[in-house]
Amino acid sequence: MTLIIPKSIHGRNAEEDYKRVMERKEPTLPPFQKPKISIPSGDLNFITDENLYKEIVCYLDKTFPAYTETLSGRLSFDGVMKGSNPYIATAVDMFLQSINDSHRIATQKDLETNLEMFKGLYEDTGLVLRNLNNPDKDKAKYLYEQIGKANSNFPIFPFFFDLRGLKLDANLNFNLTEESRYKTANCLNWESGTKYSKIDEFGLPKEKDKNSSRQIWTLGDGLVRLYLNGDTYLGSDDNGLENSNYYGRVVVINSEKELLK
Amino acid sequence: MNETNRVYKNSTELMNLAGLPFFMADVVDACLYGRLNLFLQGDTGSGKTQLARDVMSYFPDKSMFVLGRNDMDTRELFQQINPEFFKALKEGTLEKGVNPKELTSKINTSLFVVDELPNCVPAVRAQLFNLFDGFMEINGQTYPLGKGYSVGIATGNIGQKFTESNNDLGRALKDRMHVTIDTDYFKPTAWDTFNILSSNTNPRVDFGVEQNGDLEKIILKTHQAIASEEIPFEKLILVNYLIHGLDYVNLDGRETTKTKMKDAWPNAITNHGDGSDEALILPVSPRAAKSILRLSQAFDCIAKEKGASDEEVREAYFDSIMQAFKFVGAYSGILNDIKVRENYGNDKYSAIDAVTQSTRTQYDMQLENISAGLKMVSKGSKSQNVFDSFTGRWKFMRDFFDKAVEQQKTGK
Repeated sequence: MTLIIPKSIHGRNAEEDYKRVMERKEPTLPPFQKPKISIPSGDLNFITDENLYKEIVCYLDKTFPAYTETLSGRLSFDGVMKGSNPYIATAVDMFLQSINDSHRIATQKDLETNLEMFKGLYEDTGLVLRNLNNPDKDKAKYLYEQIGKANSNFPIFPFFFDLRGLKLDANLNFNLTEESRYKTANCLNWESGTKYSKIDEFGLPKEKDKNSSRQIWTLGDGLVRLYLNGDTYLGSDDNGLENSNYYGRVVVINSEKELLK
Repeated sequence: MNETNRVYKNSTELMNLAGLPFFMADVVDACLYGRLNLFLQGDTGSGKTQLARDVMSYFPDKSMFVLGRNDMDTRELFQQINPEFFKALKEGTLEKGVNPKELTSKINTSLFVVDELPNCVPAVRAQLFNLFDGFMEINGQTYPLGKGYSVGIATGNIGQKFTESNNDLGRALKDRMHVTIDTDYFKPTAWDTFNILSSNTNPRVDFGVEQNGDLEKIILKTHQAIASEEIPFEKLILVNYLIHGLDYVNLDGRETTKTKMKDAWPNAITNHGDGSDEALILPVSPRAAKSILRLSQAFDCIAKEKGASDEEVREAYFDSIMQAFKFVGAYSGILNDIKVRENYGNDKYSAIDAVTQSTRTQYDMQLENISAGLKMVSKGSKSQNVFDSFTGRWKFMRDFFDKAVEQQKTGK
């Protein structure tokens, strides 16, 4: 049998698809108009609107066309948007900003208000910069240089950055913006598995508490993600910024409501 | 097919295609339609032997049952297959001008069932695999059996280790068995066991299954139809994604393949981890891709037997291929066992389901580009925009469309 190439596939109009592909230009940010999406009115929400999910995928593909593997390729929708890594969470925050939505991605501090909601899942909320070694030493250096520009006296390692307020460039480097929040967080140097109960203004462990069941997992070097894991432990021991699986969730919060608190 | 003569009962749903449930018997039938060797992996007493026995009833006088033993040698196997052949072998007349082909062609067995295959020594196992594939090997020469259709069903309970490539048995199974089903994973439901136990408390395998030669005719006819039918283009794209797309790796901006990485996979993939396809699964081999296509075509046939329309079957091509991929791939050694253990509770089928989910996303995103590519081919002129639309693990489509346009232009 010989290979027979059809004129079209899956009932699609090949002529129109061809035109669309031919008309594709260099990616530009989507226009500032609010897509038809709905976000539940609760304080903390997963992305459960399929239209919103599609808009996000579209935004990711158009804004970061060279990184579909890392971004939209890691997402799926099955009643809820599944998949998360620091790039995805940051890009979703950029998307919400771009459409002037009142929602933004939730910070670690936000998640701490309803830990029950996140059991069995994981959520990316921050970045941890411990030094300029690997993992991701180039991205670590890039971020560190920005801290240098923003501060006359360099704070000391390790740094914690809220993902909310960061901005990705075309090479997926993390950039500080006016609303970026970061600080030196000594808890990130604690021994992996250290127990804690109280949290600080970033939602990070404030002091050790050997009687608590909550733990923080840490790692020695480089730039890593900070995430809340399915046991509601805090993880900063995963060296793969691109990692994502189906238990990952991006959590959004109404930032206007938050301001009223 | 008619299920009335089956002793083995299992109403656990193994998969769903075109909105129709597929059970163990359906998947086994699909293997017969596709002429794909089937390995039934499962615990003792799980019913795998009974299932294989049921299938033997489809081939009255044309099936053979071998109980695998470690003291069985090839001579005993030959004696069982064809005493005339064995006699010639024993008396040395094979070497004195008797044509082995004359003897092997008289072996008119369509189905070989080998119970507890792992008990067999490698030499016997190799001959059994040859029989499954329709030939015998004597002194380095191969001789075809009977009338063309032959297939094998083997059973065994050897845990996870058999998929390991560094294990002799694992390599042999990967090489020669096309489909593996873990019967423990798809256990009969409580309803099944209530019914089984209320009607029969004999703990032995029932060898007296009613025979039905009509089913043999249906199987052979369907097999011939499947083997000669055109493979839908959409399915070809999907299996090529499993061959080339799953091979793609981006190591910190450097594009390479898992095949080129060889033993460095998956440890060298440090920028990926939990749930990532890149560190979870290897690409399928072209041979496995053939099994996937064949099984998928058989699934489509069964869906139609169950009442699905041609249109419904066409709409479900993706599911058909990916379900076939599940049964061909899960135990074929392409999964990273460490990741499967860490992220999927050691459940290989769940790991494949996760790959399927991400493939669905990938595929849906590419449909527009593929469609544009087809238009480009029909126009007969190359477009950089179309080529550029295939990035990352879909870059393999560039090569396809490049050659397809050439073919369209030259007519070759």
